[in-house]
Amino acid sequence: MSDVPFDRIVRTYGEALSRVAWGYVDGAADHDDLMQDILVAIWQALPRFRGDSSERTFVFRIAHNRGCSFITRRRHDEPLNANTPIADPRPGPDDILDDAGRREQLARAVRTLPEAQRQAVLLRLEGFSLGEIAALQATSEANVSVRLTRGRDRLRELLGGSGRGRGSDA
Amino acid sequence: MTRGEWVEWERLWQSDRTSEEHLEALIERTRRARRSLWLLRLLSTAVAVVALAVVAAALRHAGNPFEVTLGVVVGIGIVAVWLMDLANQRHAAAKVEAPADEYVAMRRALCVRQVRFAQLAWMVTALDLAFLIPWWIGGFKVHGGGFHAMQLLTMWGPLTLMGAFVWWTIRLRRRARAELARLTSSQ
Repeated sequence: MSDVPFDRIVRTYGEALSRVAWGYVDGAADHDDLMQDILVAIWQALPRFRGDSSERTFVFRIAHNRGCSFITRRRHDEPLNANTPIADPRPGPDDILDDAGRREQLARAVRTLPEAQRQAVLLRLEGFSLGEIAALQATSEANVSVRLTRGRDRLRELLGGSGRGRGSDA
Repeated sequence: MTRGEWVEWERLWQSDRTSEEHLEALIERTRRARRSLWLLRLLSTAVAVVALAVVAAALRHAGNPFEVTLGVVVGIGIVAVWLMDLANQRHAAAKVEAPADEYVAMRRALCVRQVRFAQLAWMVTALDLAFLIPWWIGGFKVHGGGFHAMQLLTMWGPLTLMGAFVWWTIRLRRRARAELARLTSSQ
């Protein structure tokens, strides 16, 4: 297979894929491993791409599937209960409130969301429309809307309720 | 949903940029990972060929029809394990672009296949040992013990390969069972 389509995909979506990877892992080493895992999976799947969905949907589906697999495999030594401690994403009094710090808080908060909500929220943050998210998740727009609302409520709670959004509902 | 909040989060989220150099480095790193995948496949083929060659060499010294039958069964077992490993590798790369439910179903099926693969691999290894040990004992009587070239090639080398293979299958099975448990519990 020629490397040209693959290289183009990495150049087009690589930046967004890198952000999506931060929605699943929190360490630089894990992030690098997951990125490689995603890119190898895209390269392997590329010959099967027939244009049934958009290229963006194809690429992001692979990223999310590999992200979920990655964290499932990484946790294989942890006990099978929901009490595993996770880093508290709420900002502390000493946290720097620049963009990088707030982005890290946001990423940490996103990582606490259940899988389907997390996927919907990550896609929303990447600028996907409700219809596109529904197509990617193979579900209805109403279902996506519920996931986004629950995800937003959780993020708001974890991020300390910025209270920025007083606009209309979508 | 509240538009203003999403707009702000979206802006914040997308302010994480990746340089062109980093993207080029990712492309190069993926090329290396792909080469490693090919090397791993070659290695798996080489191990299967070596295992078959050792069985073939032992078959030449088979003393009775039972040993011949056992040797043939072991040879067939080695080919079966090798083919199953190839099929699992293909299966692992399949449906990665499918919706999450379909993908999870594929992962679950893959885990089950990997557990079965490990069990088959252990059975074939045990049969292989049952077939080769009498041949090695005979070899000791004819060629003497120790670590000379013949012993390294026909006994210590294959034994080391078998040990490494069994260790790998134990890890594979443990990971597959853990992933299966996780996938089942998160249903």
